[in-house]
Amino acid sequence: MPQFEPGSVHGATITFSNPKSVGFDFEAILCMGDGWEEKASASFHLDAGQSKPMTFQVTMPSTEGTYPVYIKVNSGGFVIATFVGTEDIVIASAALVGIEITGINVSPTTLTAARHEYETSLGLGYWGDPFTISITFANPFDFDVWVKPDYAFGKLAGGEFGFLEGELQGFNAEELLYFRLLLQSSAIEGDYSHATSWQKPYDARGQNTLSNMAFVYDPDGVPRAGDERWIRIPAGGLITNVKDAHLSSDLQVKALQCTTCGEIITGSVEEHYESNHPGVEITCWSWGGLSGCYFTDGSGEAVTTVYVPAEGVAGLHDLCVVAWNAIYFVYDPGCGQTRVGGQIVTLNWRLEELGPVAAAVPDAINITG
Amino acid sequence: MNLSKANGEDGHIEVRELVMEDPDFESETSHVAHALFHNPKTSSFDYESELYLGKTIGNKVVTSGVKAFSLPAGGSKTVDFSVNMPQLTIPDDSFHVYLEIKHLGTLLITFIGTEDVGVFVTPAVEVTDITWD
Repeated sequence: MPQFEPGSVHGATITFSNPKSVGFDFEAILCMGDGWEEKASASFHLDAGQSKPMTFQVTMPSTEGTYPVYIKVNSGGFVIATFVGTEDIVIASAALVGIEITGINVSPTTLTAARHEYETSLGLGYWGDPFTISITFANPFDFDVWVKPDYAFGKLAGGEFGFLEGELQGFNAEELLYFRLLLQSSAIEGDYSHATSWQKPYDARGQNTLSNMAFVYDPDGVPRAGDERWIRIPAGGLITNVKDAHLSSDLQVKALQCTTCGEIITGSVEEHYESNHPGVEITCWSWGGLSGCYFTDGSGEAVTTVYVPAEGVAGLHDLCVVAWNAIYFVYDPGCGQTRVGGQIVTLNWRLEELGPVAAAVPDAINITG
Repeated sequence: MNLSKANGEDGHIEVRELVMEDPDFESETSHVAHALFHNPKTSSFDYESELYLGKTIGNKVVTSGVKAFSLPAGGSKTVDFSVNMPQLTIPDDSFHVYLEIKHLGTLLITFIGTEDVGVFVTPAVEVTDITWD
């Protein structure tokens, strides 16, 4: 549906037709909103069977929102018809875009798909290789801006990269990162770690809060933006967010390795030995969900279980950083109320949003076996 | 609606009643008039009758078409005449109502309504969708 800036002027062209055998004078009025506010009108004559396009210069409402459009047609002092536009008009301020991601760094750039064990108060957990990511944001505006970035490893798609109508284009995120949510309360406890595609430079619920992300307060000191943590980019300045992170613990799959030649066996073990080690007799067994193969002469195991990178894990991966949201404050005395510490507080600063931004680094990491 | 003789001879057939709606009609709309005919003769006859709107007798601007019917001696019958109101090129106009009755193609009598039918055109408009620049 059409979207316009508040207070902007746009032409609406409508073709009117007189289906009757007699000519008449008409007055058409364009209205917007549920209250049918009259925005523009035109008087015209149509001969029998005649059609005529008419353009109405419409000043858009000053308040953001969605407005239905109505056409009211009078003739001879009576309303003879009303019409509803098939599309509503969206009145919205175009979000400013200007926050820049000026630096992205990952260290080290060569990682493995290995799985590491760690202890929690709730038992053992697992994560992948550690790395450090640093993201630098620049703020060209003369007001502070808060961003809440996400990053993901994946593949640049090769086409146009960036945001198109609010959707990120040109990057496909892969599930290579580690997400940890450690809950420890009287009601629920557990280590809810799992692999994820997009990750924030901090962990959920503020755990592992070494990042410089913090809660947002307006200039009056009133907490805003809920219980989410954001990075503050000072007016006209830079900020670098540095965060220790881990790859996912689920980048490996089990595989069988031949103890004779060291090759990873993807098919039948018997067929591998028949083809590659003729004369070596092996016996394979399977019982109760377990299985194995040993040398028939009793000299040991014919295969051993190893972990190898899952399909698509080994190799180069691109990195994408996005700031889906960026917020700033506009002075607007008495624009709202909120409850702080059980007391009602009047808000003098209105939250506005900037458009999302994205940046990518090709071949940011190489994951080896 | 009351009728009076426009031409022809009395005594062959009587129109005892002509019932129709409000005599002001929207152009190009269809309406039905109901005529009650009576045969005053001592023999039955076949008739052809036509109701039309016009400015003068024989000026059939719109017509019901010919309706054929029979009436026994001393019998009566209601015949319906459907007429589509004329298309106008001016906002309103009026027309006389004529009821013509024939027997074997020979005109017996033509009646004219004592009041005219008014026909009018109400304005209407159609629109395309809105194009914004």
